[in-house]
Amino acid sequence: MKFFRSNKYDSLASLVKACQKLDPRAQTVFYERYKARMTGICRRYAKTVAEADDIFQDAFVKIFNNIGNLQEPEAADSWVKTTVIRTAINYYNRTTRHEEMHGSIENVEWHVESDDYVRIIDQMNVRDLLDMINELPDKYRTVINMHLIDGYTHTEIGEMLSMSDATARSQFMRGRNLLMKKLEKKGIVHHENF
Amino acid sequence: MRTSEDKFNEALRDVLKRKFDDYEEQPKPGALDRIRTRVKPARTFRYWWFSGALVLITISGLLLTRHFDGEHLAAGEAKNTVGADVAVAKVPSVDAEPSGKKSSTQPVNEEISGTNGNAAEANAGVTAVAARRNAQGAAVVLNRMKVSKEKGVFATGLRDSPEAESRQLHAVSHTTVSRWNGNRRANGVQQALLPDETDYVTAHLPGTIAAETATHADSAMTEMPLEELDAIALKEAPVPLHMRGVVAPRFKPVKRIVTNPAKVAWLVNASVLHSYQILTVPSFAATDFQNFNFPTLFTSRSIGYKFSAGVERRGIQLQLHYSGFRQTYSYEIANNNYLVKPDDKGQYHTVRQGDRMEENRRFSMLGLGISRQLRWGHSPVSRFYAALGAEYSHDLNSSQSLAWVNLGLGKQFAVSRHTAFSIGPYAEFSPVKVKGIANPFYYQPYRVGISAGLRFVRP
Repeated sequence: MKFFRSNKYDSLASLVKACQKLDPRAQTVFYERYKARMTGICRRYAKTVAEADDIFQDAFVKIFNNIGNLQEPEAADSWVKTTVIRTAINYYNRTTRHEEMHGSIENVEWHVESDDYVRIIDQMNVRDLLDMINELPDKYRTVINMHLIDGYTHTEIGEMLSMSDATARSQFMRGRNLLMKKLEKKGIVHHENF
Repeated sequence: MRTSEDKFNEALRDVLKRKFDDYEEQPKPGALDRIRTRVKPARTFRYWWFSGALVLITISGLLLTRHFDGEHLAAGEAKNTVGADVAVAKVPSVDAEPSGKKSSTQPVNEEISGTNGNAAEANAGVTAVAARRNAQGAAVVLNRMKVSKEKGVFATGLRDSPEAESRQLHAVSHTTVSRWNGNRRANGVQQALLPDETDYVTAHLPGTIAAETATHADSAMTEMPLEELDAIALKEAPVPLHMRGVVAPRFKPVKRIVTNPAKVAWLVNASVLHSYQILTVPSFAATDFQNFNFPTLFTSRSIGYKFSAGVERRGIQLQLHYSGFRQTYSYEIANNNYLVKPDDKGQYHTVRQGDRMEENRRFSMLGLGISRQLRWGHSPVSRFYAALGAEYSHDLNSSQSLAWVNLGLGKQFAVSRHTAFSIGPYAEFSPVKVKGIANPFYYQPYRVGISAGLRFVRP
């Protein structure tokens, strides 16, 4: 990840150490460093903008309150990102898990027919694509984000979401198929030629 | 072997990562402020600052106490020494030696020391008090005195005191000192009356003895060359028989207010205060908030406390304060629902609805204050006081600070010679406004209550 550098803190380690001392100026620099990128992540994992704001604030409260436990300041980038993702997962576990467990799981069948989908997605506006991801049910949206964008394996996803590898894989497939279905519903189908 | 599913997933991952890896959005403005209110406040600077202040107050208090104790001791030594020397020079007495050798160079001391001869008994009762009280001071004086082999006794180390300087010590012969002390050591105890002690004693002696003692004390205050002293003839002081063996009453310190401003006094205070508030709603948010509800004039919810400890010198008080109080009120956040209600005259009024919010914020303030206290009154056991001061304090629950202006009035009562108890109304007002945590309001507290405290000072 590429972040801007602060003039005052010459390295990420010094910035993190200052934050560990609860230095308010360092916290501001730290926040400025990550705010845009982490808001983007929250927008991907959240269903709405308001929920993304909630997740973002919860995540930074956790980050500032627990940064003292960070043993390796150089690993702050990945630690911050992981904390934001975990906060998003917890947010939906807390608010929607009960609802999902008792809701009907949509059976989504979709077969790979063409690589055109990839090309189509590549040409889509990122905002439209984000809206489409946001429309996915919470569990699918989470798995799609984790596996396709943030690079977690099915095993890691299973651990983080408290499910088996197979379930994680199955959830991903269903989520992916649902996303493709949504593309079709939007009128973007593989046989369309751009 | 990779299936078509895997290939598709790989391609999908590539394109999505490319799209979202650098995807950024700006958070809502003010998000950082809201995060800060939920983050543990930074304590390092504050703790260091207050710890430093506490250590500074303690050290300065101890140093000032030691310094002024030292001054007091030095002044006491000078006083005792001068008194002793003048008494040696001036007070006539009887030589105890049987030979009756009363040369003009012989200082007459037995009357004061009361150690030799019948004549000494005359003032034995008078000097006994002084002897007892000066025992410690005399010992210190003796350490500073040198007995000259050729000429006499000199005191050293008194030049710092103007009083001592104005009263140069008179020499007495070494042999006379030895004789005067009889079977004591040559540099034995010199006993003399301090001016205030003389007053005390004369007040308790009737008639001629008192007058004579007073005369001795007065004359002791004047300088006289040794030549003149030498010329004074010795004569035995007539002591009435009934005065022999008089036991002087023991000095009993009275309970009184000690206001020695040069001394460092230690202060401890506790206050019970009722908190009030001035709430400012910014104009930009005036239409969003409505129906504010504040606590009643007197309610236990608004009762707070304050503890203080510190030092005082010359009426200037430096104190550490710890106080706790709560800010409670409620208000409504206006929403888009409107209620149309008819009134008694048949007119309809539109009332905007709102969601009620309760504010219950606890302040735990640690502060440092300076104040000036004035005391007045003539009673030895009680005084009135007024104290005006300023204080800077920091809320331990948030990162916000307040400044206070405070005023205390009341009365002090002597508990002992060292301790005074004070009680009276106390009020403080913050000219500084602090911002609300979860709202845009500004809070300005003021507190009124009763303060009680103790003041310790050495008389």
